[in-house]
Order: sequence, then C-alpha cells, then structure tokens
Amino acid sequence: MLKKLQLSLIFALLFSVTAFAQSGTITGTITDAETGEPLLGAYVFIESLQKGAGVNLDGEYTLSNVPVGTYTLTANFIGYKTFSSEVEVGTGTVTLDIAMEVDLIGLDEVVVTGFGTIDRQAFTGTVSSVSSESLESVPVASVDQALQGKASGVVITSSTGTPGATQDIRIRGLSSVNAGVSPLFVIDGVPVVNGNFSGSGATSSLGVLANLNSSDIESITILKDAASTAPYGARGTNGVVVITTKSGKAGNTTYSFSAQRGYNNQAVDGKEPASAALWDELYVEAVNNAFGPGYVSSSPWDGETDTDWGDITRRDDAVQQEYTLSARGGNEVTNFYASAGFFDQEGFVIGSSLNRFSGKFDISHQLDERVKLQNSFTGSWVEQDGILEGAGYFGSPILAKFFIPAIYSPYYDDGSLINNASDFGTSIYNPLYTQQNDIDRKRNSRVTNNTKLDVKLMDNLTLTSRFAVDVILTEEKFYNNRIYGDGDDVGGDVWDTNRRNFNYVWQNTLGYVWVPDVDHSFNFKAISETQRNYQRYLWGDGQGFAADGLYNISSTGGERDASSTTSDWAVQSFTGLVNYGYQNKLFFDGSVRYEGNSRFGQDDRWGTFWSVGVGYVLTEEDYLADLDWLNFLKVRASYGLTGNASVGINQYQATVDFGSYNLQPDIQTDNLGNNTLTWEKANSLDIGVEFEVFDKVSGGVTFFRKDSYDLLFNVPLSRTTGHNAQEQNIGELYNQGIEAELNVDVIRNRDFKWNIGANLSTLKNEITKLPVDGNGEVIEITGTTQYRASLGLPVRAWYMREWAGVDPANGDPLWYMDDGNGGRTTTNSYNSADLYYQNANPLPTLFGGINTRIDVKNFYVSTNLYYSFGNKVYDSWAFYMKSDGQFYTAFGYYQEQEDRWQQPGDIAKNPKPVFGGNQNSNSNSSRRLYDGDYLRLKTLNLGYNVPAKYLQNIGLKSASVYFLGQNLWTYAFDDDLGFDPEVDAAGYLNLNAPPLQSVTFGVKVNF
Amino acid sequence: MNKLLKSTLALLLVAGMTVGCENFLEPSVDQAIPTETAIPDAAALSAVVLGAHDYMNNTGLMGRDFPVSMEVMSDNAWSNGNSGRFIAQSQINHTVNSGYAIGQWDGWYQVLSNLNLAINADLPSSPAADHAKGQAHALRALVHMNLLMQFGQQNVSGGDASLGIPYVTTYSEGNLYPARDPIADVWSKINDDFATGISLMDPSQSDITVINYWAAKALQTRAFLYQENYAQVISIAEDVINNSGYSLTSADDYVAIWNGDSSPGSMFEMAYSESDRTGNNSIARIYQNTNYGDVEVTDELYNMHDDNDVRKALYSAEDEDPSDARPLNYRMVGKFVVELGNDNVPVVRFAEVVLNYAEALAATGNNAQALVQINSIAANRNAPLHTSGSIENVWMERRLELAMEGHRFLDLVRTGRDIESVDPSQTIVGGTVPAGSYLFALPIPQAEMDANSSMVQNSGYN
Repeated sequence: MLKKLQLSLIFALLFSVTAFAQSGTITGTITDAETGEPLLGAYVFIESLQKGAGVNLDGEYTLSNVPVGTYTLTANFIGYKTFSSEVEVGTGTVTLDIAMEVDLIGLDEVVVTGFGTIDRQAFTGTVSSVSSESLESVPVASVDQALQGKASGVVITSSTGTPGATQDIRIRGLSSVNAGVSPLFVIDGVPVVNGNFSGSGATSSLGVLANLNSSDIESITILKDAASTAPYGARGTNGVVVITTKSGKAGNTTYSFSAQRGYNNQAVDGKEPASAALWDELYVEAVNNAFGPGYVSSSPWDGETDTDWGDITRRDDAVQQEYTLSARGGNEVTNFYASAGFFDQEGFVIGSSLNRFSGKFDISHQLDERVKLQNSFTGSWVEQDGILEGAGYFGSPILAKFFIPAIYSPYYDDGSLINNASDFGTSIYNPLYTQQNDIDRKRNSRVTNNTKLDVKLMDNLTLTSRFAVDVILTEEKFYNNRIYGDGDDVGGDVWDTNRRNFNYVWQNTLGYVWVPDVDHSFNFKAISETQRNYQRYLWGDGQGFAADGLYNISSTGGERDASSTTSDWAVQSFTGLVNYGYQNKLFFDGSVRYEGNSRFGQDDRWGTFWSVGVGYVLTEEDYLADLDWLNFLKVRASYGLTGNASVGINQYQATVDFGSYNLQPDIQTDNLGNNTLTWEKANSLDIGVEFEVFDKVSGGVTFFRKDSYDLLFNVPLSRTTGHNAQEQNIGELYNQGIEAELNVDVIRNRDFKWNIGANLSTLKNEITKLPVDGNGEVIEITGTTQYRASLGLPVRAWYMREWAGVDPANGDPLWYMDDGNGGRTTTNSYNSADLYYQNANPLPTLFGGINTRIDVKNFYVSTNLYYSFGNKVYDSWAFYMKSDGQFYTAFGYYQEQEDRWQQPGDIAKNPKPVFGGNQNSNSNSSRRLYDGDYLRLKTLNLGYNVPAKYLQNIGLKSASVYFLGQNLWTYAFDDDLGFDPEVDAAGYLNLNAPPLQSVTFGVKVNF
Repeated sequence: MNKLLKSTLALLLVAGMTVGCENFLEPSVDQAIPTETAIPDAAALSAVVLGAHDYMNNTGLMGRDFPVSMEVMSDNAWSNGNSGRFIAQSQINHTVNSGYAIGQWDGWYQVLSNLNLAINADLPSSPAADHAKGQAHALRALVHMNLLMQFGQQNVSGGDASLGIPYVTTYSEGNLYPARDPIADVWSKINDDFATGISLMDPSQSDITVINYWAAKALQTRAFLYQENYAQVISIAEDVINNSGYSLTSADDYVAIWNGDSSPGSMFEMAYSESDRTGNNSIARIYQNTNYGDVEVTDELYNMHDDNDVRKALYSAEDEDPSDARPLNYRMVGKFVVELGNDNVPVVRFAEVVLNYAEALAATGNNAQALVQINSIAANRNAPLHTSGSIENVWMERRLELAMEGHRFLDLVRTGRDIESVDPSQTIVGGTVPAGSYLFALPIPQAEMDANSSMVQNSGYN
C-alpha cells in the first residue's frame, strides 16, 4: 500500500468532479459470468454523461451524483464482451450487478490507419496489425525486431546482433532500385525520422527506434496497399508502419510492473575457423605447391598454440534485463498514462552492449464538451557500446575469429595481453587488448512532444490540430589508446561527434461526418501537414595523450581537427479523404494528396497522389445471412498512385564543394545534378477477400501488384565524366505477390483454448525498363560486383561467374563459360569465364510465419515459427577465408578448407592451395553464394496467469510469470552455408555480430 | 470564450494551410555551391586547379596506389601480403573487378573533371587566370598520360593495338559516354595540352607543390620519351638542364633531403600537410616494417647498389622473421619516412630529366653524351662510374635513381621487356610475364563496360 501511495504521488493527477442537484447513485459488482470471480480492472461508463468508474478490490463499483434519468451503462474489460444495459436512476441508490462473458472471438474490431481508426468491416485497404500483448513480453532493443513473422508481406532482417542496431524492413519487396526502400514510420499520427544517426559508418549502427520502449506501445499497424498508403503520398510507396503508443484510459488507476531477465547467446554458431594444425598443413602445402616440393616443411607455428579466437571474443550467456513501471487511469475528464523503463542488454560479442532509460507521460483533458486537449511527452536515453563491424576493420573482434590464425596467442608467456604489433604474429590488432582499452560509444537522447487539440466545431464537424516536435541528440566517442592499436602512431586519438536533429510536424485536420439517411454515411477529412527537419553535425578530433585514462580532446597535445555541417529538408502536403458507406455493406474510400518536397527542383517539386478503394461485405446481404456457417465474407479492392522521395538531400542541384590542399582551400566537383529530378511513382493494385466461417476459422487472401515507374535511378555514367552516376527518373519495375492469413480456433472453451495461425507471402520482382546510354543501348547496372540490374530479372539479381568445382586432375578452380555453340564448358581462367544469373536475389520469394497458442486454465504456451525461402546470400569475406593461399600467411581459413585437392584424382570441394593464390579461385563467383532458405523458431513463450482469487489478499489485480525463448532453433537448408541465414536485406554475410538467441524469464503484475 | 477559441483555431488552420509558399520547400545548400556560379574570378579558378591537386594526392592515386603499384608490378618489389594489400599487383593478376584498375580509372578521370571545369571556365584573360588555366592544361596532359600508359593497348600484342583511352576535354556537357580514342590521337592531344599549358603559365611561379612551368617541361620530356620522339626529348631536356636553375643534388645532401618533406631535385610534388596526409594508408606504412608493411624490395634491386652508393642507405636489410627461409628482408625506408604519410610524393624530379635526356641520346646513337649524363648522376651518388653510355646502362642508372618512386613497371613495358620474378619470394603469375602480354594493360572496369556501350574492353579480359 505504501508503494501505491508513493506511486500516486509520483503520478500526480488532476481530478475534477461535477455535482448535480437532483441525483442518485448506481452501484454493483462486476464478476465473471461463469466463475463469479470479481473482475478487477473492469470499468463502467455512461456515455451520455461522460461519466465512469472502476471497481474496487472487491469488484464493486459506485457511480454517485448521477442526475435523475435513464441511461445506457456499459462495462468493459479486456477479454470480455462489452456489457450494456439501460438503467433508471432516481434520487436513491440503484444496484446493478454485472456478470460479464468471456469474449471468445477477440478479433480486432478497428484498424488504426495513422489518420484515425476505422471499423475493420468498413476498411478497404490491406494492413497487418500487431497488438501490444505480442510486443510487451518480447525483450528487444528495437521494437521493429519484434515484428518479424507476425505480419504477412513484411520481411524484417537484422544484419547484426549488436543491441540497438538498425533493422532492414522491406514491405512487399523492393519497389526501387536506387532510392530508399525503407518504410515510413508514423508515431501517434505524425511521420517521424528513422534510421541510423551514427556519424561513423565503420562501427555499429544505432537506430533511433531503439529509443522507444516496447511496453509503451499500444499497437503497430503496417499499411501496405494504395488505399492505406496513398494518404502518405510521396512517402507511402515503401509501406507505412503506424505505431500508436499508450494513452490514458478511464478507470481506476492501474499500476503495472514488469521485470525480465534473460541470457543471450549466438543463434547460429557460424563456420568453424581453421585449427592451428590445419592452418599449418595448408601453409606447407601452399608454399610447396608454389615453389616446388619440399621447399618448406613447417609453418611459423610453434606446434602448441591453438587459440579459439571465436571463444575468447565472445561473451556466453550475455545478460539482458528490462524493468518497466507504469500507471494508467483517469475519469471522464482527465486520463493519463505514465511509465518509466530501463532496458539493458549485453551483446554476444565482447565490447557490445546497450542500455536505455525511457519515460513517457500522456495526459488528456476535456476542457468542455467541445474541446479536448492531449499532450504526450516521451524522453529517452540510449547508450550503445558498439564495435567496429564488418570484417574490413582490423579492430573488429568478430573479424578476429576468422582472420587471426589459431597459431597465434593473445597472451605473452606471463599471461598478460600482447600489446605490441611486433610481438603479435599478424597485422591484426590483438582484439582483447583493443576492446579493453578503446572506446566505441554512442548515445542517443530523444525527446518527443506531441500536443493535440480536438475541437468539436459542430456536432459533426471537428477540427484537430497537432503539433509534434522530435529532438534527437546523438553523441559519439571513438577513442583509440596510445599504447597499441589504431592510435599507437599518434599517442592515442579521440574523435567526438555531436549530431542534433530537430524535426517538427504541424498537422491540421478538419473532419466532417454526414449521414443523409439511414442507408448512407459519409466521412470527410481535409488535412494539411507541414514538416521540417534541421540537422547539424559537429565533430572534433585530437591526437596525443600524455597519460592513459584521458578521453577528451582537451587533453590531447597533438594535432586537432574539427568540422561542422548543416542540412535541412521540408515536406508539405494537403490531403483529402472520404469514406462512404452504404447500408453497412458497401464501402468506398477515396484519397487525394498534393505534396511538395524540398528534395526536388523547383519545377518538379509538387506531385499529386491518389487512391480509390471499395469493400463489399457479402454477409450483410440477405441471401448469405442465412448461411449459418458463414460468419463473415468481404471482398475488397484498391488502386492508387503513391510516390517515393527517398533520395539524398540536394541531389538535384549541380554543385561543387570545398576541400583543402596543402592547407589552402580548394574547389572540387561534387554533384552533377539533375534539375528535372522528381518523384518516383508506383501504381498499386490490391484485391483481397476476408472471411470467417464456423465461428472459428478466419482468414484472408490478398493479391497485390505494384508497378513502379519514373524510378529514381542512379544511372551509371561513364566514369570518364568524373562521376559514377547521375540521379534520373528512368526505369520501371513491378512487385507482385500473394499474402494469405489463416487463423483457426481449434478449441475454444473456458479452460482449454487452442489457436493455430499462419501467414504466407509470395513475392516476385522484375525490372521491365532500364535507362539507355547515348547509343541507345540498355545500361545494365552493377551496383556491386555481385548484383546486376537487367531487364526481366529482379532488382538485385545475383549475377556472377559460376563456380564449376575443382578439376580432379590438377586441383584448378573451374568456372563455366559459353562454348560458342549455345552450350557451356568449363575453364580455369577467371578472365575467360562468363557471368550468369544465379536464379535468385537477396530477398525471399516465399516467407511467413506459423504460430500456435494453447491455453490450459491459467497456463499458456505459444510459439512462432518463421520460414523464408527462395533467396540466396553471399559470403563477402570468404574472399579471405577461402583464399586457397592467396594471402600468404596473413589470415586464417574456415575449417572446411580441410576438404581440398591434394593429388590427382581427388574429388574435393576446394582447389589446390597455392601460396599467392590459385588462379583467382577466391574471386567473386557462385562458389561463395548459398541458398538462404531457413526455418527459425522465433519465439517460444510459456506463461502462467495467477488466478485473481490468490491475488486479492495481497492487493494485486493480476499477475503473470513467463518464460520466453527467442531464436531457440534455426534450420538452414544449405549445409554449406554454415552461418546464420538471417542476413541484411542486401544479402551479404558480412561477419557482423551474429543475431542472438535468448532465453528470458519475466514477471508482470498489475495493482 | 468558445467563440474566441474557435475563431483563433480557424485562423491557425488557415495559416497552416497557406505556409505552403515556395520558400518553405527551398532546401539550404550549406556545404556546397551551385556549379554554375562556382568560378566568378581568377582566385576561384586557382582554387579549382588546387582541387585537382587535392584529388591527385588521394591514396588511390599519387598518395600511394599509383607509385607503389608501378613498383610492385615489376622486378623492384613484391607484396608479402602482410595486411592483404598489393597482392594482385604483385602477382600481375588483374580482373575486371580489380580494385586497382577501378581506382585508377575512376580516380584519374575525377581529376580531369576538375581540370575541365577550370579550363572551360568563362573568365576574361588575366595573368592569374592564364596561369591557372595553363596549370590545368599541363595537368590534363599528365593525367591522360597516366591513363594511357596503364589502359592503352600499346604494350599488348594480339589485340587492337590502336586502342587508347577517351581524351576528355569537357565537364558535364558533350558526350557523356565517350569511346576510346586511338593512341596516336591521345598522344597528339597530350602534346598539345603540354604546349598550351607551358605557353600560358608564368615561369616565375615556382611553388613545387603545384604544377609549374619547369615541371611541365620536365614532364614533357617524359611524354616524348614514352612516344620515342627522341629529338623532342633532347631539345626540351637541354632547355630544362640549361635554363631551369635546377641541378643534381650532391651525394652529401641526397639522403638528408629525402629525410625531409621534399625530395632531391624535386620539380613538382604532391604535398601532404596535416590536413591531407594519408594517415594509415601512407606509402611509408606499406614500405616499412609496420603492421601493414606489405611491400618489400627484391634482393636484385638491393644488391645492384654498390656499397658506397649513398642510395643504398635508403634501404633497410634485416631478418624480420628468423623462422622463415628468407635470410634478409629489404625495404625502402629512406624515401618515404613518416608512417602517417606527411612525406611529399615526387611527381617529377630533375634527375629524371637527365635520365630522359640520356636515354634519348643513347637511343639515337649518341652514347658518348649519354655516358656523360648518367655518370653525372652516378658521381653525385658516390656510385661507380659507368664505362659506356649503352642503353642498358642508362636503364640501370634509371632503375637505381628512381627506385620505388613509381617508374619501374612503365619503364619495363614501354621498352618491350619481360617482367620476371627475380626474387624467390615473388609470386608473379607464371613466374614471368612476357613482353606483349595482355596483363600489360589494365582491364577497363566492369562498371564502365556496363555503363558505356561505346567502350571496348582490352584484349584478354572478359
């Protein structure tokens, strides 16, 4: 109780009570209809009076000062059907005991679209929704991680397991070649900035979504089709993720406390690095194969050292914990939600971790019967201890596992860490020393404030004005110690950065509801929105510390450098929306948006986007209403035009920039520019059906096709221009696929419930038009040396030389080439081999999730299995780890190099090792391309809801304990892949920190 | 109250809807300026020329990759692969995705974009503007020469021997997808650009960290030597030797000058100040025994030096890894000293002009004069004097004097010699790359081939 009192003080509230002269009281209990147990947390409400009350610990409610009259009283409780009854109030006390029935169906009744909510029945678009319950218990650093497998048509991958790193989200495939393909995020009605704010591309990314506490989220809706995304106009093509955070709710104040603690490990171990003995063998063989038999008989190996670099650079059972405390309640005038949270996660790789402090306060107040004010404030602070990621950096602890041969030890004979380049056998720095002594730290502070004013101008005309500000401050510190590592030449160095991003949105909405008669209803909205973003980036660095333990530039005695840059962008739009309903069975939606964006030249800045949608609920027709087994059937279709403006700031302008040569300022060519740069556009068609039969089977199937044109293409230029590419609106492609969802309540009664759900998505992507060069020939685009954009192929088609194995006669690498007669033959000359399409791209063509949940009395178990098929992934760094000797003694190998050619007749996977390399055997080819098909048990959740009867005595309303396992099991279909099949959307295995497997125990109580 | 509130809100709404004036959507351009207004005066023109130098001093070009590769792709040096760098060049093993070929192709053409921006700037003639444009012309000749010597088919047999490189003279206009010009045309344009540049430049401007009048003439002797136009080499070299004021550095000063920022007899060098030094990617870090330290000198080059030759002191000879079979590792430590890359990198030194002169003399049968010239260098290095002015002796003195500065590969291939493994540690593909091999021209990068259908690939690459 003391705690409760303290909390009440912390979350101080304003209550206002209105008294009436002639009044009475309604009182009663609220209980479960079947068990008779009191329902703590239930709430009664009289709509016409805007008056409500919650129940006390005995399940009793009291509504006093009710003016004499007859009212409709409703009672609500999560998981139960809404109760509604007429009640007549005199001057005395009326008793109304309420018995509520469990709601066994529990379908989402409304759809959150970002511009408001709409009945699911009336909605003509296609969305996927994720509720707070499925987010709350999942401990993730960044909420987007929790969405994987829960929404059809959405591919979410994490390229790294470093806590807080950005996720790749691809909704319905890649709708662009060169422009951005990430969705728009809308939080509480306003578009927000997203992505990585880190100044260094070399170290771990830190997404600003990591600032959001997943416990504060009420729901996430992913908008996919034109009808739902066109209102976001130019930013809608890649889909929209609408996040609604929790706000106050009328009722007795409910306090919630949750705690979780868990342990992280690597989800997939990855390939085995070569043992010292194998490394030694390969060395001797490679040298003798290059310089003649017997040239050497041993390597630099001492014959003893066999260091498992993977083992010493990882942290087994890395701890993660999260604690949140919230209070939620209110009355008819004022509602509030307040929360505080702490999240802490250690990465699996030494030197990576994340912690977050967050707080939210949301309050709404009804000023009078016409005006309502709501303000939502969040503040958060995230600190990430990152690492140099990707294998390109000698400072990366992940690189160490493979790059440092096992023949070297990190320790001197006396057990201390090696800290001198000449004492360490390889050019890579001893990762144990650098992780202990260097700093790679990012801190994001984010404050958002969202103020909303609703004014009921007339009964059916409302004005909503919203002003939201979002301030993100990112500071980073990169410090290299003076003794050993990247900073040893300059006596240590430090690089401090500071990025400030300020974003505001001002949105005004005029809403008008027109119901001419009982058959027709119209809902109009006119919205104006302006958004502007300012960013300033400032950094300084310094070199030369006199002592250890100094980390700031002011302590440096050597050279110092500094820089500052600023940039801004703005978007402005005017949107009109209309919903029309006929007899609650036929629905039409329309939207039109006129939008301007500062990223385009003056004449091409504004664009018009639109959509139409139609929905027809067949079960509302008399001839179907008689079918008992058919509960619900709806067909819907939408078509519209959306845009994509994800190009860099100032891309349309031809500019020069400024550098320095020999301490004198100079001018350099910068951007070729293109004054006619404008929107990338997409026409989307969506046709779907939704159904529910036998009261227990529900689902839907949607077909979509999105034709993108005027693609924002980095049209490759001849490099003789001094530029690699020019941004142009050229090219066409389409994405199409089917999304299906099925949900079966196999058994649903009070003590035993079993639900199975599945979703499936297919995706096809094809380029139909490409730019042409001055000779009228199609320019094929090699974005990287492994991809190619070609007519008739997917956007990122894997296109490379095709590995034909190892020649048993001599151990040479073989590739395919055209034989000139329409067939193929093999060659050992890399420069003669031809390039072929590898029948895949990095995005899966078939993917989805299967989930099931079983509730037995108060116990439940649920699982989510994610599956993904049809893509291929590329091992970038096998260039080194499968080098067949090219890098002499410098680096390590995979243990699988054991299977190599040694003598004529050997059927081997890997060619003959040769000191200096075997004829480019390790260069780009399908030798390093693997099938990406996999299954993964994303979550396994076991829980127990403590029955209310045990809780009443200790003052709790509800309590639950649970166990959650994430990524507990992974199966990759390609045996040769070896690594975690979940890679970034670009399809590269980049030796980033591996995705995590975690087990978490949690407890949650409401009181 | 309510009325007031309502009308205020209505006003706000109207205001919100009309903020849509064009200014709101006009983006700031804070770190750059529009190209069309970039060069209002001669000072800006001069800054654009400096910008070309800024591009040239990158790690991918003069800052490391170009000079180092020209040595590693020869019998002077090899890569031990310690940090995985310069291995493909060391093996003379190129593919259409070779990082080195891409870096050279993109990098030098990027320099040209700045030079053409300067040359085509619409400014009235003035001494300052003329000088800057003269500098740009001379650099444009040099850059095209570096491209032609690496990508042209002049040293390859079996292909289309006339294939040169696109000679680019405009920026952001004209044909953005040019074809390869014939080698003869490229040379003729190079010669024109040198001549134009020299005619425009002010001979009194003598800052050697930028292209200057005498440096342009010195580079002209290199261009004519490459073209085997010996008469021109002789006449221009004599002009430089007699009139430039430069002379050969004495043996006493030679090593000490290398130890400083500059180099002996430097006529034009890329400057590396605190703000543009190459840091970890310096030549010194690759040449010296550091945690990179990939590039070692062959025992043949080291052992060519007489013990009294002051140039031998520029090398280190140590057994770096007693466990391996190699008795001594040789390294160039004296020409590029500072690991952080503060050493200026010579583009042309006076001694090269003397060597170009000597080679032209020897090639035209004037061996007696050639002997005088190479002995003038040998004498100033305390090296044994030559007894004949044979072309072989000129080549030997050239190898010793310009060692590890980025000449050896071109000197071998332009004179039709093979490139042989001369050191047991070298791993040149096949042991020897014979004269005329397709590997003596770099592949046109795949990205260029994909973007530009007018481009023809060099023979031997697919």
